[in-house]
Amino acid sequence: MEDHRAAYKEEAQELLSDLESGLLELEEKPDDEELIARVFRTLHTIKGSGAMFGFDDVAAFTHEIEAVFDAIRSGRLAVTKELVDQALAARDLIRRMVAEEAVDTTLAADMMGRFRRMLPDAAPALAAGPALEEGQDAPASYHIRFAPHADLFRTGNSPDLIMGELRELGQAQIIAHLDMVPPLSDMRPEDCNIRWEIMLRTGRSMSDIRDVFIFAEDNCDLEILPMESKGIEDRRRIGEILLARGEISAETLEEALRIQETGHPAEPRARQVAITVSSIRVPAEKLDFLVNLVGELVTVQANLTRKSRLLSDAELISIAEEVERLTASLRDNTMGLRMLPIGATFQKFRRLVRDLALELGKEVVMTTSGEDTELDKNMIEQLNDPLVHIIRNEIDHGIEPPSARRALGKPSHGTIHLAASHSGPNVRIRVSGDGAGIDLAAARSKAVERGLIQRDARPTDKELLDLLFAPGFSTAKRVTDVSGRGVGMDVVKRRIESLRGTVDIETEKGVGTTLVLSLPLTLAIIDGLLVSIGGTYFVIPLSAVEECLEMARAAAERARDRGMMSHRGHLILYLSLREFFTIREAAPAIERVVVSEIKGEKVAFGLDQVIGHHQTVIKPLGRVYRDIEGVSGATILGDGSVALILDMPALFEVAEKKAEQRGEAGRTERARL
Amino acid sequence: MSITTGSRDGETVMKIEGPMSIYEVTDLREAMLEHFRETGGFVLDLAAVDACDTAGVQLLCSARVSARRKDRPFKVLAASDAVIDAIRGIGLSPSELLD
Amino acid sequence: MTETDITQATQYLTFKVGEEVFALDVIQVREVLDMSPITRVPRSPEFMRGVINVRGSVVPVVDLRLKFGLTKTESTVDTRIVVIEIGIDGEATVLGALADSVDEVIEMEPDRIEPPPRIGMRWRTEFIKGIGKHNEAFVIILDIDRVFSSDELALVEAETSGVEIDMDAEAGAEEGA
Repeated sequence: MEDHRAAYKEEAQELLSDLESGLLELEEKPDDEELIARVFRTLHTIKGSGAMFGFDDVAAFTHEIEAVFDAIRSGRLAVTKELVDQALAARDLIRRMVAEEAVDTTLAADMMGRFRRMLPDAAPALAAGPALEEGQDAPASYHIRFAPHADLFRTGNSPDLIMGELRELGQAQIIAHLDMVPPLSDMRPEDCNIRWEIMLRTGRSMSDIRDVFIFAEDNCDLEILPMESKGIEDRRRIGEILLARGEISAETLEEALRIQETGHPAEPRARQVAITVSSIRVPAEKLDFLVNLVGELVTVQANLTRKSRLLSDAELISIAEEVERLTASLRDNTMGLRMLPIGATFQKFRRLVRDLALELGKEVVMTTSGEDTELDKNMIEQLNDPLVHIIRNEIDHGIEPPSARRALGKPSHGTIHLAASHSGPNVRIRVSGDGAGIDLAAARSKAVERGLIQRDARPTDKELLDLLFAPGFSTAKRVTDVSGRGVGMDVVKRRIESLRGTVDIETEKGVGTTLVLSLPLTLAIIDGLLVSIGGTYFVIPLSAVEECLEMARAAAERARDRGMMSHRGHLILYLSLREFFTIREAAPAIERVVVSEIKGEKVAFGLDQVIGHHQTVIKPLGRVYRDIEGVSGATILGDGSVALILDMPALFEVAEKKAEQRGEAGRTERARL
Repeated sequence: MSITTGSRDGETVMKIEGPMSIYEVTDLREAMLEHFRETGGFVLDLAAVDACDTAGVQLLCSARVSARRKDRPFKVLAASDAVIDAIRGIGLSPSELLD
Repeated sequence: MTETDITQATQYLTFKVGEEVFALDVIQVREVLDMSPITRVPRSPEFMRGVINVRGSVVPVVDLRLKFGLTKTESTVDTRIVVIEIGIDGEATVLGALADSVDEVIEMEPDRIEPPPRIGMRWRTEFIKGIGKHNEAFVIILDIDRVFSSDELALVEAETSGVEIDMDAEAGAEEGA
């Protein structure tokens, strides 16, 4: 039971977020019947399974809201903004109940009362009985095939109750197929071996019919087909007679009817498959464990490949290649399992945008695009907080109050647009707001005031924008509850960088601001360049590598002293990794240089040897090494030894800082070129 | 649920009292199988069944299949409203199952 | 086993660092590995020797000799990496500890273990659970969680090797400073 409760809790949280997004959509489209039906169904499921798993408070509370939505569904009540407000508040309360957090019972009772009062007078709480109420469509006929899985009874479902509910919807002709019922000696009495076929004539909608099967849905194959109403009863009656006489089998009847109805034999098998395609729920830890195992396999496979080449045994090499191919495919598939569309995360922000706008007296609509863009599940989780912060920032500081916007000739409501797209091996997420944009002059005086730059410094626009990410920087004139406490964009930046991503700002004063997050598809696997310095191996993420060069020792020493090197007629930043990592072994006569482009600027890293392309699973270094500058993780090489993964944005900053320490001379030199 | 076995007009009568549902079907199946083995065939008295669900009806169907396959006598002597409603409820006709 | 049944005997893994014999509750020991190449992590303290691959996981290795204020561990045929699981700030962490040699697993009853003496100790008492006696030799039972939760580089009392110092007096002096 505890297991079931935990599963219910998890499922209910998902249903509650569906409910939230449904309600928010409903606010915009109060007449959308599909949407109303969806909200009702969600409430119905929360209530029903809540009661089943002992969440009686949830069931009782949800019942009142469900009743209101039933009234809306049947056209007896209209969706208002106030109603959506109440429903959202109720949804928050249900969430607390499901999470078994403390709930203010008087508040809950109040809320239940409010929903009860919304109901039109004398209306039954939930429509029941062979309903011929107003708001119904002209009756239509449906052909329902209901084939329970063997475990239907054991999940607490009883077909007689389901059939009873169907009869309440309208005229139902029910045929039970007994041909699969085995003799006593072969039967498992708790398995369900009966299948049903129902002809239903009702004024209710398809989704109402589906609702009847709501608790059985996962334990049966279900098919509901609308039929031409004319003449079907007659055909059915003939069929029944034939069946009762034992002249045809149930299947034959079914098929004959189908041909009669559609003029051709439908593809019943294909149809059934389409409906039964189901997903299964797997705990995230199991997936993570699988990813780890695959990671180990990748390592062992690399070792096998290496060894087989060393032994130069043709047969062994071919086996190793086969293993390599399978491993790669297994790895890609496993990684694919963790990929989720980002849309659900975007939807979560609707509520945030709505509540925040309300609180700040602003009008904001949220639009999205690229919801189908897939990202690693862990990555999506990690993205939540930074995105919340960026959106808050934009609504608080960017979007102007409606009156100000009108005065500027802008529409009174601001727009926040969330967009996701693939860009090579990365995913790009853009958060745009059509607010005030960033006042660079104000940013500059703030930076001077905070001592972040000298009074007489002439930073470029880009450098000024980078300052927004400096710890303790905030351009807000006043401190609000929402943001602007001076913690902010620096936290966002750190978090994104810890995901091996980058943040950029595009802004135009008076027009708006866009934050661009660029992230790798997955946190778990890296495409890298394997390099070495004094016998220690490092991996540079391939996405950061522009080109590899060679440099004689004398030139390398000069570059090291200046913190710069000349590259294709330009001076670019240079950092000797040997020096930075204090590696003592002697340097080779010819140094290798890896040129990277980070945040639009080129930077060169000096090292000993470039070994080659290396793809592997990223391992955390653990908490003991978490603060090591310039290293973001580790990976296991084919021979079983460990290589460190370089943290390129951090190293870029080191290079920049070093160059600055070497004096303004180098700085102006760079700017001039 | 209780099962009592008696005899009437030379036939074995198995009388079921109480519910006949998913919770009882495992035991009932055992009892029915035993009767098939020991007496060849039997008569069911379901007049005292006070609750019946789809699993209960399914068991009756299965018993019919067994009897037909083995060509053994099997019939239902009497059935309570609970049984008849359950049979009708899932779209079967009582006369088909209970004669 | 008769009267000692009441107080359960505990199993300890003993190992040598320098000349001293240390012991760890076997519950904390995951496995003992032969010496393998260690990847050095730059810009980290010297006693943190780097990382190794333990069946697909990257595990940091600590040089107990350096941690205990001795010279760096040289790799010999007897050198072992004791993989232990410790709690740092309530989080389970796996670490490898370099030992000059690993000896055996012994059993010691709790009543054979004395609390660490307050004076006369070369080692800092807060890192020691107790002193046991095995085969007429003293065995120092380490409180390994504490050893690694401390930011101190050396386990040994600064410049006090072999000198008898009262710990409380020392602590008092520090507070006064």
